[in-house]
Amino acid sequence: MRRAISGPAAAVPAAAPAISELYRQRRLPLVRMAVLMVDDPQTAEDIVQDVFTRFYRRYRADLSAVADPDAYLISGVMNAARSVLRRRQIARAYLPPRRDPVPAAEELALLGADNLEVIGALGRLTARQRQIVVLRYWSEMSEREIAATLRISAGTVKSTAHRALRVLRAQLGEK
Amino acid sequence: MSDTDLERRLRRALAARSAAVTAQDLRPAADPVRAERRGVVSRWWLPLAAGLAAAAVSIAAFVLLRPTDSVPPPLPPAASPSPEPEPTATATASPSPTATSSQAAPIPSSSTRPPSGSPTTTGPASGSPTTTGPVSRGPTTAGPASGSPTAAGPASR
Repeated sequence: MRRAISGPAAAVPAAAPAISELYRQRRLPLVRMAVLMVDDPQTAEDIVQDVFTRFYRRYRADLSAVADPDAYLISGVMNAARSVLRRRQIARAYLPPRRDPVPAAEELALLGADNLEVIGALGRLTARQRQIVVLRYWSEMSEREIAATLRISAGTVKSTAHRALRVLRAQLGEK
Repeated sequence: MSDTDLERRLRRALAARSAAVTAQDLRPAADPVRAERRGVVSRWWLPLAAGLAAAAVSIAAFVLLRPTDSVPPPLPPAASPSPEPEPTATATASPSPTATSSQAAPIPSSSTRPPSGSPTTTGPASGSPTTTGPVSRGPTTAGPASGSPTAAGPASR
């Protein structure tokens, strides 16, 4: 009886990638997404590494326990990035105001003035608005997917995206 | 600006910013499996080994540095080799009766000195310095030889 239950059907699917393979495949895209959130490559790498480590501690190598590992990782990176932005906002409240740093010449040549202006305007959004803008316009996720990833309602996604676009339009000086 | 224009700018800027991060820019990092193994070693085995080493050093230092000569227990009075107290205490010229306290001294008498007889003679004889010589002769002379002027002996008459 036991042999019949623990047959091939009960085994771990062979198609489930190991955590190391998932790390190799998804590290760079997740770091890029975290950079879009926190504007700092080192912090973004730390965020992604922490998320992978927590993922491994919780599930070990058994990725079959997670329905969608990719969505889990995106959700973890987004939540960690939001925490970083919140901590920065709290720290900024106790620091004297300072002017925005001038972009480096290399960054200016790489991105272009127009893109830098848009990235600067993104930095003035709230953390939740920025999450939704990145997932909507960089990850090309639908409102329902964003809602599932961030564990909020689809209506909240829609209203937050609308407010974010309004703020961006005002920041970029266009009517 | 229409929403389409704004969205296009957004997509272009986000794509350019993310493309600026390449695989060469990333710091070398171990995958979580290896990092977790290293974490287990550093979190459990290193402190455990350090604790064991410290305990071994403490035990070795205690064994090597502890005092070897232990203090012998005090001898009971019955085990003294000589039943007689030190007679030299009687030779002191002190008239004070506190000289009798020397009887309780646990110093054993040397074997070269002959025993002076009965130990009962030393008590009254210590009161008078002039009678120290004859005091050791006999126990019967100890009473009158105490040197007290108020004693009712033949010498007072």
